[in-house]
Amino acid sequence: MGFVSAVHNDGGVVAAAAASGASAQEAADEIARKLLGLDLAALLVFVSSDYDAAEFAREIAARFGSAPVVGCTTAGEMTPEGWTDGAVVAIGFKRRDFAMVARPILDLAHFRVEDGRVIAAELRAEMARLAPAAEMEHAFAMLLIDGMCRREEAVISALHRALDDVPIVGGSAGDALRFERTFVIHGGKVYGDAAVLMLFKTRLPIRIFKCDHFEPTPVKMVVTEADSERRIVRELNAEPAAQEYARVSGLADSSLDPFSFASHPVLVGVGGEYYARSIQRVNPDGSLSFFCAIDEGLVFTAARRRDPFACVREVFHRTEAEIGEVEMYIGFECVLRRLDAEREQAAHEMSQLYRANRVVGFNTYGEQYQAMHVNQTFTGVAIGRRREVA
Amino acid sequence: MLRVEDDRRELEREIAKLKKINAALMSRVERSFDKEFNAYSLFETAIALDNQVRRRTHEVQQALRSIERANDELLRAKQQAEAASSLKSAVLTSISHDLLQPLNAARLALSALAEIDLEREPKGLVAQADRGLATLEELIRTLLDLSKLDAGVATPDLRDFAIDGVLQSLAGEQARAAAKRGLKLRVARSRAVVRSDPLLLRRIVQNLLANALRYTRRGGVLVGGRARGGRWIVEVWDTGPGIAEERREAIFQEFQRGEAGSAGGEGFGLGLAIVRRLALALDHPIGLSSRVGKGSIFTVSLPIGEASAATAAPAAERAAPIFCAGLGGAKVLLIDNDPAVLAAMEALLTRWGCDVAVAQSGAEALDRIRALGGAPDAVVADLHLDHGERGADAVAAIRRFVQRLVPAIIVTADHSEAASEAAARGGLEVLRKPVRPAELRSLLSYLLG
Repeated sequence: MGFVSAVHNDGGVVAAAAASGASAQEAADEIARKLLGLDLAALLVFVSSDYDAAEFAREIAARFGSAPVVGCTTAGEMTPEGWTDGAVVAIGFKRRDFAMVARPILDLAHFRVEDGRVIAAELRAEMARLAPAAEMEHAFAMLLIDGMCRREEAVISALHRALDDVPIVGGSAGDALRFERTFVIHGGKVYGDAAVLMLFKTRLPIRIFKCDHFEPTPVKMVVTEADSERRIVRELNAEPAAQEYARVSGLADSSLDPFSFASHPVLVGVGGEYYARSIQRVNPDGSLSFFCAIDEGLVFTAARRRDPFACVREVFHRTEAEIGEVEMYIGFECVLRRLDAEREQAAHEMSQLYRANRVVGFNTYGEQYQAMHVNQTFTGVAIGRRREVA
Repeated sequence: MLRVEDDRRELEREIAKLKKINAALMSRVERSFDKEFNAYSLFETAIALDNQVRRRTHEVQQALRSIERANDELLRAKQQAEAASSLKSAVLTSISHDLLQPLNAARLALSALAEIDLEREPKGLVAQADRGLATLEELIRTLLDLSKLDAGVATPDLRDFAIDGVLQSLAGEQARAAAKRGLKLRVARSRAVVRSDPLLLRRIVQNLLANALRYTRRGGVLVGGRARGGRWIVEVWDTGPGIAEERREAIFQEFQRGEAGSAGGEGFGLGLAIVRRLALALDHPIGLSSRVGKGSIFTVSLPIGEASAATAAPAAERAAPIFCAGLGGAKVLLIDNDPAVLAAMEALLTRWGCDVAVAQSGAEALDRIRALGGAPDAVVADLHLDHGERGADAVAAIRRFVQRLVPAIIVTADHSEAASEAAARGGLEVLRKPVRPAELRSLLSYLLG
């Protein structure tokens, strides 16, 4: 059993395929059947945590010997057919148009800014040997990182600084909202407490993007007690955090679940703009765990949702205005956005919108955009079409 | 009464909460001015950065892109240059090897010739030919060293030593050449300790000195030195024709020579190119100041060494033979795949009174031993025989056959350390091509003694 969806743009520059075979081996077979015939510079895989990630990593690497395979586990997949769960998405980058080099970053618990500089420098040097700039003039970097490592801010800010002008986007790996273990995949192996940094060069125009659909209300909360290391808020307004969050958001605190967090994120205002800080879960002691860095004394602003379609459409319009027709959007979408759409019964429509615009990717536990680790956004990189010279 | 109490308690609680909120906010505000970063402040910094980036102008981005393109082009040019250089090194190594082989044969033949009682005139010619070959050998060795440095297989052997020893021995060597041309040669004494590779530094100064003597017609050459800017500067002064400004870059190029028709036809115009390459490898900047018609000063800038760590600079040549007796009647088996080398060696050893047998392979050597019915006193074998056979293996086979640890010498044109180490492991002596007869003779008499 299992299906392989249609491959996008067979004559194109990137090819995506999804598989949902019963075992990791079958899923790898399906991906191989679709993409192995193409001359690939790299293969990106987003794997449902229903699969044994280690087995899948081994199986897929064994089949795609010549092309490096990089990936991570997910909290839902964005396939060529739209949103799914329990599947594998694979994106192949053709050698004619892309060059890619990747490095795993291990032991994130002890990650230092200097490590980021070294890795970025190594990748740039390796890329310089691999692809002369004249042929592949556009560059971008991509980060996949353990979604439970709590080190995203440190890693992304160091890498962004080290990469200079190379735009970087990425996503935090998921495990289908179990919040136990998430993995990144590199070289046929899986790693926890780790990230993989990829550096791409391409002949094609690219743009990175980020959008969200929340706006601030006048309702504020102050973090009065927090464990910033563990991203736990114990008190808001000097009251137990979960209880106060529920009260301010107009929710019953007994029913707080990911759907509540999805539709009622809290925002922080920085530099004139607002950014979502997403709640991961309620802890037994009534404190709240977050997907991103928090601190004591932060002022949270309750959020109000706007039209979720409008912001996504705007991304498509703006990108196409800038680089012309888009071959594919590789997207990192917060799992809470998807939950929010499901709760609002907009999931089918959103899924169709993504499908129509050739968005593939996965649902994350956090998104990286330039130096930032953000939540509740749709972030990624758009890959343009080759411009045929008339 | 009770309600008032409740209200009061409620208000007190509210005040306590507000106090805590206030305290959290104040502490946060204060901390926001601290230097210490936590994860959240990284996030804030990231946003500030992002806004800043957005404000960057299109022009700046374009400038960066063009710099990147330029850098990539430079990188590519550098890679091409490196590729070319490594190819050149490989070619040079193999050419040097092929040159050393016949040179070896020629010098051995000349030595044999010199042993024969000749008239004065032919004797002079033989000596002249040998000097020519010696110059050639020196040049090939320098090229080999350069190619090894270029290829990265050799690194300079840096150590601290007194410069005076190197300079005085050079002066000694060149004294005759200077006197013959009626030039004064003076080397100022110095107590400086420098840090360099003594043999390579020696080559640099030797080339500068030879160059100065070659192009100077009257007057002389002075080698001196002085401390400047924390370094030791070796200076080679001459009263030659001087070098015009526009020629100063060119003379450091290969095959560029001084003014046409100048006296002293030796050399290939490689001297200064070698100086420059060696100096680059050692990171010893070379300087030149010159006045046309007055003379030139070439300088080499050296790091100052630790006087306490200074070692004696090794002599350029191996020590003169010490053991010179006891070769008469010795049975020596020669193994070399090159018939010319075999013939020359045979002639030489025969002149020394040895009883010589020759073979071109290990198998042939065993045949010889069987036919002669006795073990040789010593074996001299070339390292590389035909069909991938190695001299060391041939020696091992002979030793097994005669059941005796026959003294053996391996001769090789392979100047790599690995070759000598491999031979040393087999308990074999190693001589490098071209073989100096005196060296061979002393080694043989030592082994037979």
